[in-house]
Amino acid sequence: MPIIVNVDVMMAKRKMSLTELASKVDITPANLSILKTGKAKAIRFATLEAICKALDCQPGDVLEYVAEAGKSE
Amino acid sequence: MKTAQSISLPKVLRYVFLCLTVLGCIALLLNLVGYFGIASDGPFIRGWVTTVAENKPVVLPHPDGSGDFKMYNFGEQKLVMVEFANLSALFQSRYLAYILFQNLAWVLGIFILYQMYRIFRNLDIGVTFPLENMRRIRLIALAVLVFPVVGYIAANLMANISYVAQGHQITMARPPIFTENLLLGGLLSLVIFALAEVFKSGSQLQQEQELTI
Repeated sequence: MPIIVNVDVMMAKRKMSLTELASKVDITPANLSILKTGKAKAIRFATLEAICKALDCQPGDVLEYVAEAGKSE
Repeated sequence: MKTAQSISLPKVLRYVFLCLTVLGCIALLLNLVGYFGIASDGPFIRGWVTTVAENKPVVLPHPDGSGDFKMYNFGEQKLVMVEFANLSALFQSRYLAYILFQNLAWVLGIFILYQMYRIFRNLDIGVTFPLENMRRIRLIALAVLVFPVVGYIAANLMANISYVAQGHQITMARPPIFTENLLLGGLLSLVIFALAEVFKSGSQLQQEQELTI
């Protein structure tokens, strides 16, 4: 998928653990792990809002678009 | 404290299909035991045939008392039983072929019941749209398609066996219901295949829902 989730990068910048972020965002660590590893198919606005609030960042810091190699626009 | 488990429809159906599967297996075993003369006087085979139009019509009294009132016998379903003096007499290709196809129909029936049991087991434990259910529904559709074909072949074999056994006095034939079953099976199979596709969409939706954070 060309959407890259950079939650782990932001977590490292804010020196926040997965369990801590999960409790602040009010989702399970398992679900946060799915998001972090890029296995998630979608993200709710409410979850994105909570993540941005907990990490004090913008949605663009968490999500990034990278065009897939070999795919024409 | 342990609470009493609620009785839901999937739970009831799960156990209904489990019981039917077990009963089907027992019936199949009894059938085979009977055919090979293990628990009876001697080996035999049995099946349904129909008698084809007898040559002479039966003349009956006319309701108004004028003219003839004839009744033609255009087929009547009969259960025939071909008994054998010993087991070796049964071991001929046409009899064994009949036993094979007749019991294959039983096996397919049991297979369908077992798949139904597994589907309701999944529903009972709260897994509504697993891909496994879709696969099982597809297998049921395939079995429903093959089931009447196997029955049709078995009926033809029995008609052929009876035809020879009766020494051409009465013409025995396959009952017409087996031909109708072929069409019905095909139609039913298509409906079940469509249902499997609905399940496929359902499982995709469920997977998407599970992976939405």
